[in-house]
Amino acid sequence: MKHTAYAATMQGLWLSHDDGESWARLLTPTGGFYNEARCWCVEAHPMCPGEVLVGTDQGLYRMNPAEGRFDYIPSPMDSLHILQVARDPNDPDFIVCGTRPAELFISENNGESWVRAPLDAATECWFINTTRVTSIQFDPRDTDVIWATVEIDGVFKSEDRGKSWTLMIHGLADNDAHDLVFYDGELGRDILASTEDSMHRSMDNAVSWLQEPTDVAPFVYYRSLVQVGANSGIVLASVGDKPSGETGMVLRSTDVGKTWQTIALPHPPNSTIWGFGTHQADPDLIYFCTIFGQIFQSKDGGITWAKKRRELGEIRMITWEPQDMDTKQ
Amino acid sequence: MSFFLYKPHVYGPAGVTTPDIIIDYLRTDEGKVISPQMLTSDTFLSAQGTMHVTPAYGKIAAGGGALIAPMLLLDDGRYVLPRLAWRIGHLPDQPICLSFRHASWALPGAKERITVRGHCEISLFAKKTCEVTLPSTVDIFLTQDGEKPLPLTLHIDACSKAPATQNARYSVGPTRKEVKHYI
Repeated sequence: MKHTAYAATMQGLWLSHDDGESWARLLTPTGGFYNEARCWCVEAHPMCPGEVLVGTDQGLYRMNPAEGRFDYIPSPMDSLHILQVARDPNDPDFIVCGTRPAELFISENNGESWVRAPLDAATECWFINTTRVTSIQFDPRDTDVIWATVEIDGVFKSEDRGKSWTLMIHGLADNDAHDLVFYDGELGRDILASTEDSMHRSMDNAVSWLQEPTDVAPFVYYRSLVQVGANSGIVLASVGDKPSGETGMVLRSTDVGKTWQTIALPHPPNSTIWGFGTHQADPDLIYFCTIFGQIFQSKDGGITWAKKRRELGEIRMITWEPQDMDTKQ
Repeated sequence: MSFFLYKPHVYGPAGVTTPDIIIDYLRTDEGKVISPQMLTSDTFLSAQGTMHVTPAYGKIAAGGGALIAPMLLLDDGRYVLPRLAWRIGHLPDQPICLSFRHASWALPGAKERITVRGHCEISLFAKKTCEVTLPSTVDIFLTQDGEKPLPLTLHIDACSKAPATQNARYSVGPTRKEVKHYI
């Protein structure tokens, strides 16, 4: 599938229009965006290709594909690090951003106005001093339910579109939480949570968690989770020696994490695998990035991988979308 | 939704911690509520030839325990909050003293904690206001026996005067022939 891939890096947002082979940034002088801004997140619009949102250390930006530039979105987050951005898949004008310090900001009108959600995350934490949001997800069963993970504080859940939040950490061996996936099967719901100390599973909608160590990987630092297709039991997990680490692995499960298989990679990762990039248009096309700049691609749902030649320094997020609209470079 | 992002360097027994803290509620110990955006940094440009400063100290709620830092009130209503702070709970049970212009005072309420997230409370020494002629620096610091003093040095300079400044310029890079930009 012809697609555009996006990599959020510590030197701006990079784009690839040729299957991840070559990468470039938008034109520096007129692109509306400082090319060396630290970019932590990029979110593709589910209906409007090219209209990606980018969270940076200088505010929130929206790509304007028709004009080939970024448009700055005024928000209260300008002085914060915008680490995560998510849109309601059924109502893309509903945007949730997560920051460092760990706060959530919500816009119901495509960024025209913002409210600060009453997340009440810890204001300080061990190791990284300042808490931060590591993932935001709309519940696939009911998008009025929003989930967020916070490093280091745990898993938060809102059942009223962000107006109130509950910390759900009973049973978490470590509340340094990174990512979640949801599987709704005939026997009920499974939620997997990646933490710095192993995978955790909840079978009661996050009321309680059970730690699920696996001996497949020699490491316990689980970072990113992704399903291969909506509500799929096929799950990919990234695990590394530590953050940022010196190596990483991809684990693949076909039974919602009950068993895991180590996936062979064509080149050793140089650090922890920080994120997977998927799109519903083709669940088998998946990217992953290591935090220190490597890019890998799979076209068979994560069974086999190819490493891309280009490396991009420090990458914090990677994603892609179908290439229905050109952007100027 | 407005707030001030405070980035203290907190000196404690285990070293220096650097949490970033959102301050969204600012008040004096007399109950006057102030916009958090009246907090400013310790380098300041003044449009006046002289200004008045008032010594103060602030307590800031933080997840690991309340912080204390020296502060100054400027005569335009802004409060200088430096980035050096102590965590009150780490301090020995001795008086904390604030020193300013060869005088010092024991802070009677310094050990009281504040715990509500986002809150900062300022205690002013309203009778100790002094006039400063620009440019100048103003020094104030907190001390406690056995602890590294916490200094606040306010650097005040006068705003540039228009006739003395040069025109703003725009630079295009190549000046003799067309060359490709590598930016």
